[in-house]
Amino acid sequence: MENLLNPDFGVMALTIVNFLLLVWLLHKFAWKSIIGALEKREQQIAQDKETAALARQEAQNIKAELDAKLKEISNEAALKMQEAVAVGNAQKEQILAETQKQAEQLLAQAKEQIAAEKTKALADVREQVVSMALLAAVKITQQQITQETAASAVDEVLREVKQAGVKTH
Amino acid sequence: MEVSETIAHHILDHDLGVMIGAFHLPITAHTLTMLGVSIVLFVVAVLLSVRGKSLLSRLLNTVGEEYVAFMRDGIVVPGIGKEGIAFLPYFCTLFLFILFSNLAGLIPQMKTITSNISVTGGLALCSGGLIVYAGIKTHGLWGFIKSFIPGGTPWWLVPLMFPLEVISLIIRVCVLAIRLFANMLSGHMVLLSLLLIIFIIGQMSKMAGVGAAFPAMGLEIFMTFLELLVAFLQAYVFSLLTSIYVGLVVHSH
Amino acid sequence: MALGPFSAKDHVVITTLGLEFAVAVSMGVAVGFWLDKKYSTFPWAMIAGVMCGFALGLYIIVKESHRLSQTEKITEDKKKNGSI
Repeated sequence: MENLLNPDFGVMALTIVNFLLLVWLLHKFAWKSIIGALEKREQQIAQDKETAALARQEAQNIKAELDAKLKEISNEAALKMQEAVAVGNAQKEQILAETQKQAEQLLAQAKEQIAAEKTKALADVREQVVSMALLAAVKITQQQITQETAASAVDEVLREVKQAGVKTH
Repeated sequence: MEVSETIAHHILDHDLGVMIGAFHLPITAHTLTMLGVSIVLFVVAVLLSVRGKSLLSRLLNTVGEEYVAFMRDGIVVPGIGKEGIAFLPYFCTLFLFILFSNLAGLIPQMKTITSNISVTGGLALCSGGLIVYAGIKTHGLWGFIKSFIPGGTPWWLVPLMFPLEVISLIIRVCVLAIRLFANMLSGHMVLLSLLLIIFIIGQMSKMAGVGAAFPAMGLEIFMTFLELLVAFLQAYVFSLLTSIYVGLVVHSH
Repeated sequence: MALGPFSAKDHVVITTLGLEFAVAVSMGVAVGFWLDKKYSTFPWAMIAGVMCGFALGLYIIVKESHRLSQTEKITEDKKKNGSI
């Protein structure tokens, strides 16, 4: 048990040689390629991350652009709508005014027409009255005719008719 | 057989006594085990690194990369910093070598070579060499010697501080060796003593020995798992301490 | 001087401090013993060695704990500055 703590320098030297040789061999045959692969993978991951961030940035840019465009479009639409409403209102006013004018015109025409009709009707009536009176006169004269009375009666009727025509006009 | 003799037989090294002329070759049970461990380690590491298309080789590659990433992010970078990545192969080998050496004792006919002070001393000397090499590489020889004196030391304290600092570096290297050695040796001894309890009690009476076997075996199994934990822990601690000491030397002004 | 929270690295360093102290004292004893044997001045060199070892161990512990509190302060400062 005493030589438990006594180092054996031969074993120690062999350990050092063995270990350093192992470090060198493994560095050459194992760790180099593993570290290379690890670094490559990490580089890949970093690159992927960067690409993803770039793509995301780009997508955000596009989104912002689209948003702006959309806003612009909706603004334009609102403007157009306003314009259309204004145009519509103007048209409405115009149509209304026109209609009113037309209505007034129609009314006036109608009134005129009515007046014309009225005069025409009156003339008709007068004519008919005249013919009826004539008929009546003829009948009467046939019943009690004499030359003189006939003549004076005709004169009288003519005068009366003239007076009536003057009255109506 | 005496108990102490049995323990010594199990723990001490056996020299095979190979001589070349008058030169005594250090071929012992421990060095043979070390050779076996080195060969196994070499094969494992090469298997981890060989690129291939099959599922198994891809799995092994991933394990290797994860191991190296762990060594880099868990031991080298916290201890040394970015400058330490140049020493990454050393730490990768160191951790696996100590781990395999610690675990070798669990295999029949193999010895726990890290329970030999010469082996751990050799490893610690390698780490000490790394510390000195890293210091000289970063600061140059004169800068490295100057870095032993802490900044702000009055000139008349320099003759006192310089040996103190040099001796504390030597002590650090010794501590590396002794810590690993003591941990592995004590675990080994506890395992052995628990087994010997059965025979010591069995010498008094056979039935008592049989009765003692069960608790002793339970404790033995428990201790074996504890030893597994300690094997990993000490490999980790050895690597981490080496990296911390290298970092101290690299970052000193 | 607040201690902790420590990283895994600090834990390893702290648990090593005790062993460093022990090794410092034992080295002092060993050197003293060797000197005693060489010059046959039995207990004196060993006693001096114990004292030197003790002083060295204390020096290591004080320096290490100073460094730990220093790193603690540095990380705190970094946290305050928001660089971590």
